[in-house]
Amino acid sequence: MRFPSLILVLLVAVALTSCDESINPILETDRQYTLFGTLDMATDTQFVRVIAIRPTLTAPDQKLDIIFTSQQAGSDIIHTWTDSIHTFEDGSAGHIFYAPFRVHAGKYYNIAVHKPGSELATTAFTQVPNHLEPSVQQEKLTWVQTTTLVATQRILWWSLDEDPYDIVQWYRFFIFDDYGFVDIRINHQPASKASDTHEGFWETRLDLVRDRDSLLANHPEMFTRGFLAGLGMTLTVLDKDWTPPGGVFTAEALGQPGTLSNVVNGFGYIGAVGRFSAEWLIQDTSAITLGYRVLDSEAFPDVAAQVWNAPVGSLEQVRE
Amino acid sequence: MRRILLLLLFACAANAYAQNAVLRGYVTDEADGQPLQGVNVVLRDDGGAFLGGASDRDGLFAISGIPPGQYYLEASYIGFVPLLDTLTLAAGEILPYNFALAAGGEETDLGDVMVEEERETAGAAAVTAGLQTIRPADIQMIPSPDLSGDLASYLVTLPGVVASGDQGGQLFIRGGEPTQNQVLMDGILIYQPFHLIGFYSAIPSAILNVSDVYAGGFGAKYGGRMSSVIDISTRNGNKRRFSGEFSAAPFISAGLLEGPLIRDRVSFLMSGRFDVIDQGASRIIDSQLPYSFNDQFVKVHAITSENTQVSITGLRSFDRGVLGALTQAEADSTTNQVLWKNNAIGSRFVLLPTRIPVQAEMLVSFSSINNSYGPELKPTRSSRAEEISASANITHFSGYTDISWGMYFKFNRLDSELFGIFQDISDETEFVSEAGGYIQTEIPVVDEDNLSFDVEPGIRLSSFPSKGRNFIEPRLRAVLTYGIHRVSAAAGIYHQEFVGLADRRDAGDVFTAWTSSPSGEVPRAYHLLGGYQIRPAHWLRVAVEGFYKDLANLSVAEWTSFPRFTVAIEPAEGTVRGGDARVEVDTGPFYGFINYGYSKVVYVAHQTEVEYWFGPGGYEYSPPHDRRHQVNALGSLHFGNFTLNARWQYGSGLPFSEALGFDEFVLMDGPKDFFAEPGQTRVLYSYPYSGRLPDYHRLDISAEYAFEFGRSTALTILASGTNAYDRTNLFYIDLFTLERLDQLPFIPAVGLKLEF
Repeated sequence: MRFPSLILVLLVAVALTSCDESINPILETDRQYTLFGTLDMATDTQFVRVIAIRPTLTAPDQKLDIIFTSQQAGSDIIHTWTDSIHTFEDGSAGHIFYAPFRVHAGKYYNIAVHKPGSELATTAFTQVPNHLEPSVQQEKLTWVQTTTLVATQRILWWSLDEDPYDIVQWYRFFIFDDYGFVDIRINHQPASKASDTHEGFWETRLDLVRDRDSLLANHPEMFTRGFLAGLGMTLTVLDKDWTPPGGVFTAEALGQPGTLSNVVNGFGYIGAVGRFSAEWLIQDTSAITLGYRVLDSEAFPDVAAQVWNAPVGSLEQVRE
Repeated sequence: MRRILLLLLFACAANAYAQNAVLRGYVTDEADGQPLQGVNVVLRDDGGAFLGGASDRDGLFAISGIPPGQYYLEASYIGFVPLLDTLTLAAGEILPYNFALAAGGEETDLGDVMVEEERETAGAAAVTAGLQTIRPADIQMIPSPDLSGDLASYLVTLPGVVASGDQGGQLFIRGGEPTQNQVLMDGILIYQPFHLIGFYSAIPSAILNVSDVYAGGFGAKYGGRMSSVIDISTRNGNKRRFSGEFSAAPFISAGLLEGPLIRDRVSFLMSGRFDVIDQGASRIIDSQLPYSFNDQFVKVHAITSENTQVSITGLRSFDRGVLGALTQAEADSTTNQVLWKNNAIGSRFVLLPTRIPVQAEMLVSFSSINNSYGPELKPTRSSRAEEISASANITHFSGYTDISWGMYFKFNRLDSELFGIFQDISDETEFVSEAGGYIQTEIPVVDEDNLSFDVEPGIRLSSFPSKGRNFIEPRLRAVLTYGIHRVSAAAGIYHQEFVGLADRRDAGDVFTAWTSSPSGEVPRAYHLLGGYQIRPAHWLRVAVEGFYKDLANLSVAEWTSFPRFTVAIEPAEGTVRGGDARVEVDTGPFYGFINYGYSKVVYVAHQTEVEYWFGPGGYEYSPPHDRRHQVNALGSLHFGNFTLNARWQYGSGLPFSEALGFDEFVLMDGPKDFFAEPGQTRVLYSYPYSGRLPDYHRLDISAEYAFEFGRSTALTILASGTNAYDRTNLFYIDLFTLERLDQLPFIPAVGLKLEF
């Protein structure tokens, strides 16, 4: 190529390409909001954090002009949620929407967030875990070589085929001086984590001697002032989709956008939390053998009625 | 074992050629005693048959396997008066024959006897199996904002070479990371050979003799790096008279002085360059230029006898600056300041034993790099690497083939204080020893008038006793020449025990931590390349070359959605494939070339968390240096003392990571109290490096005129325009602030150089 020709090529190339080009590293997206929240059977008000997906690192301090609704599938009732701007301990602020209603086991809920007048909605769909039927088996007490007591009790949770998220176990005592009940939480996990998932039910195996020893160590007054008025257990069960990739909840894994997300046109996760409890009594002879004091039903018929007339699993309250 | 091998080699060489003679010696420039490379030395007998060889970068030539008798010697070199002589060689004689050529020769007429052209791999389209030789004259044609020119400016005109930009000092060669390039200066390792300002390397062109750039497929002589080799040899000082040059320009002022310490025997060469950005460039450019750099070079060369030479070379370079400073406050802040210092010193002893046809080279060197980030006195991270090396390279000259072999020992110290920045890298000081050797030979399978086929097989052995690792690396290079056609190919296996880790997710962070391979698996590369070259006319050369590299055991920065200052290292493998086409024109007053390069670099990284997002099996991406298309064009016009140069560069956009936006992340590991969880700010990344920055292009022009005063004094005036049409080329964009940092704007420059 002769030199003038090369110059000409260069000039043409320059003329064609010398305009500046701007670039925006933030892509356009239909994903508008990130939602983190739970629909929890244990609460009468539901909460969901709503974060508008923004093109800048810092969040603008402004009101979210959105409509947030939820609807139980098959029901005509639509809840419209209310925005609240909450200031966190670190000084940042966030939008937490709330709605006063209870969710029910086994029900499906649709959640939708959209701007007024916009058809594009960020939605989520979740199902509260199905109702669990507990079946409390008779406790078994055995003396080994006449000196060592072995006491166990099995609770079968029908319809549960996966490990629950959490188990809370407690013992209920009647305090005569206060004329009231006290629930003492057992801090060690029952043998539930070691339980096996069987066909159709999930089993918790209690070590009543170990529970007794724990109570004796931490709450000895219950053995002098209180009367054993019942045992209880609450299982917290997460919805079936609430399973972390790799089996472990880590920020690095779940922080990847789209990982563990049931939000359409957005990110995040709205989980459903089922809470299922059982309460029961063990036989007086077993309780006495374990070292507890038991109520004389004849002496305190009204107290006994409260305790003994309650059907198993009907007392859905846990006190720490 | 080694002794036995040595004895065998020497015995073979001695016996096989006991009856034939050997002619060897050094060719120098009569004016200054510089070695002349590429001088054709031919022995012709009465019947017209000839034997010949060409001088190497030391000016050494050797013709072996010469039957005893009388010969006519012809030595020629373009621009020099040919030497003619008559020699008589006896059986078994090894005749030393050192001579000097005087400048001033016209067209050399040796008929069809041309053993080797000036340098058969020199020239923009003279690439041979990945090797291209760069001469100072080539560098001078690249327009730059100063008069001294620089190797760095030339390297970025090579197809397949990607620079981080005008700033950063990072060079990627055919897909290889900067720390996978081995830069040797007179055999001494230079860890960080480029200054922060991309126009300059740490090695000024004024001290260069010649540079061999192997973009891949390098032979068994080289090892320790897995991508490329830049083998630089520096000039010796003038052995006849004192001379020097001083230049001043907006970025840099330079001075060079050389001369004889003992006439014709010992010379020195020293140069120094210092930035003058504050006094010069900052006043004419409306951009922050918070850079400071300098380099100093000293070489003493001695011809200690007819058969021995020794040189001592030292280099020091310093860089300090802040990449990405948009405001004066950012430029003045030391928080993001990067700093590096190279120190290198070495000695080279070259011996031609009188009784055996052998050249022996012995090298001893020390080199180090200090790299830090943050305030100079209290950096937030720092890394230091040192290498003490001793090696010997032996070449046996024979009539049929030359055999080269060598052995080396290296002692490395690696020392980092990373303060947890690289999460998987220990801050402990590491001492690693390495020993090894190589052997390679050049076999002329076919050697006829118009057809030659040379094969260069080799094997390299490396051992790291303290790590319990040993590597065997076979190498092969081959060149077939048929008339105006040349076909070349190369292949090899390469390992790299010491790696430089950098967080490539942040284009503004060029801090490099030197360490042993962090995963325990040593990075490995397979190279395969092949090319074709044709020279249909003496003024035209055309070449094409394709290449493939398979990379394993790479270490890359993890991918995370959370902006933070720490980096976890993840394993990766990769491939590089591509090709380039080059056309070179040299009509005398006009020289030009245009080349096009295509390259595709793909990494597959393994990071469990990302695989949850994008699927199992590793995530495939194009790393940020994956420039797919490149075009470089150069035109240089020379009229008397006037020179006009223009260079245009085009590069398609580099990969970068786009995002959908930002939000806060709440770890949903169970029922939460959302009033107590502010959440962690998160980047909603799209697929890693799925976006492309805008294309890059730039036109640089320069005009020089030299006023000559007497025989050896000249004053050269430069006027240049870098980025002549003021293209706003993007360097990088800060995802978090959406601020963009552009490459340097139009830089008008004038400069002066005084040579004496």
